[in-house]
Amino acid sequence: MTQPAIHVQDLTYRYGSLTAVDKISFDVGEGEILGFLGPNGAGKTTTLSMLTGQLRPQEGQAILLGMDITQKTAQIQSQIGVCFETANLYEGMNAVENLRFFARLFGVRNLDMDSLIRRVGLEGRERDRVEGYSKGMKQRLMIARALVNQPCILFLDEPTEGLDPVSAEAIRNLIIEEQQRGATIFLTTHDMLEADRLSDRVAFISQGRIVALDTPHNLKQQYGKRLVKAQVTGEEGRLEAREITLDTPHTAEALQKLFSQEQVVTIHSEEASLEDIFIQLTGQRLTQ
Amino acid sequence: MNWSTIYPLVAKDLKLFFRDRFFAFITVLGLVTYAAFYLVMPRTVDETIGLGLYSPVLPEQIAEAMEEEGEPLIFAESESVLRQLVLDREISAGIALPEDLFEQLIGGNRPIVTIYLMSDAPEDLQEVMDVLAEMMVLAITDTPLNIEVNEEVLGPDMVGQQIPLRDRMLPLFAIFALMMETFGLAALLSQEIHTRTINALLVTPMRVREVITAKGITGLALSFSQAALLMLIIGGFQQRPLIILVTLLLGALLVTAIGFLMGAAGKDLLSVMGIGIPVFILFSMPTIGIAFPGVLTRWARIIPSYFIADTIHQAANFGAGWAQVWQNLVILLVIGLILSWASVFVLKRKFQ
Repeated sequence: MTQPAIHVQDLTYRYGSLTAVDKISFDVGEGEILGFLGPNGAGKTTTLSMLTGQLRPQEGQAILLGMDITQKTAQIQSQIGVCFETANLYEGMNAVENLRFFARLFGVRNLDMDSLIRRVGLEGRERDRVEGYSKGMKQRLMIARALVNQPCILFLDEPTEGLDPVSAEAIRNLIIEEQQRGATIFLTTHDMLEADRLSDRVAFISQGRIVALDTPHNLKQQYGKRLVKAQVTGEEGRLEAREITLDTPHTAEALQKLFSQEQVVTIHSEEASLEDIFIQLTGQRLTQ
Repeated sequence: MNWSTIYPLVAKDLKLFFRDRFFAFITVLGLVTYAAFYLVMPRTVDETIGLGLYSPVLPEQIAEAMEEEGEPLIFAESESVLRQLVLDREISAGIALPEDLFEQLIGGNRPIVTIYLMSDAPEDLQEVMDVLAEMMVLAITDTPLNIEVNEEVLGPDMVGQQIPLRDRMLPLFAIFALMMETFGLAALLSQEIHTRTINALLVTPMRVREVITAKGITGLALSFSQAALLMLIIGGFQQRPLIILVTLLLGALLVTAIGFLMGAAGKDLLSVMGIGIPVFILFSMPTIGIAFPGVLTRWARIIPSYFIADTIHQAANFGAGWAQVWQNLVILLVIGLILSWASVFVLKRKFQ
């Protein structure tokens, strides 16, 4: 078995009496995208901060690329890229200056600036000061900054939060490209659709604990209900909704009854979403 | 220490500093203004004190006596004219002798001599005028004082070549130049913290100690170069340039530490200015005592900038050597190191 890119064992962090991260353990394989899902305040960013060397774990261990983050912080940080939730760029400088500055901090001498700028769709604006950029442009530049050292592990904290659909899609495509390059991606989000689409596996975190960790498909199989939703013509010609749960001993009988006794206008099957499963497991919604 | 990360951070900070129109403007404005102030101020000191006299009795004798003492007198036609001369600041002070001076003296009474002074006249001048009035009366009555005066000047004799105000203000200009760049450094730091770019730096191979070193180099470079350039323009290096350079360097260390503390406490430029201006005023106080002797008492010596101001004053205006200023420099170094240690501690906590 190959060594995981990220190995976390009993990781814990407390802010005073509040336990933000409570003995969490998980592995992320090389080239895998792990979606880390949870509502605001669940402990996602604290976990990411510990994994990237910004916070020192109070208990437990985090091994990245075979090295302990508390002991080999600089060596690990030279091989990771981090994209923060809120824009933290030098707004008085332009995109090229921002990227060149961080490339120098990483000791990267042969940065293909044009290619990187093109990948994040900032060509034509790369010499403009960042203070004039839209939120989406800033977020794309932050992704570009996280890529200047061609990281082995990419940490993305809510990368599409609050973005327009075009910018969000551009960022999702970049994430997929990075996975294809071979990067391991740790993606924190509370966007269940994004996590479902991008992640090989997802971890649900609530009140500092991981409550489930598996592929989206397995989680849906294990916890989700598959449904058939139909619209039928009711009394006085009004449309009424009908819902039949699949995979039960009574499903066939219920479906037969629907078609024989009701006038079906539309019908479709529906899988449980990750949000449904999260609510089922924690009693909380991902978005508030 | 990884210098390959420190150098780009220093270069970035200097770029952002000079790209900020406000800081670029106040840097140039400060240099030009302080230099202009210095250059337009008189190079020499007018040591004469204009004195007026209203004396209805024996004015010629008094004039002769005063000329012998080297004090030129303006005679007023009446007491009211004398008052007006003082009010118009034509003279610094006026003495009015009574018409019945002799009668009073012969009769064994104490005649009343009136001294006119402006309300803002220094206390020293009042005392001098009291003595002068007594001397005049003694001169008129031909009663010599039975004492012999022996003047002994301690230190270089500056009679006739007093230090012009502009040179007394050299320490003030130097401290202004040192402190001015502190605002820029503090604003850069507070921006780094509050826009969270510090987080972006600290997930690269750069360590906190390297960030602080880079910021320290930036602060030292900005404040030292600004102050040194100003001193060069206004001719502050004509005497003991090495001592003045070392003083400016130690001063830059001190104000950089202050800048770190201001940056850690401030949230933006406005709060940095709010914290910084009282410090700026406090640090300027010892220089006021040098420009206007007697204004401040010894308590000003507890302000760390006193040791910058006094050393520059002693070296630039009296040619004081290492033997005279080494104690100031050692105290300055110790205060600078203590404040640097404290500011690095605060900043580390803020960064982490």
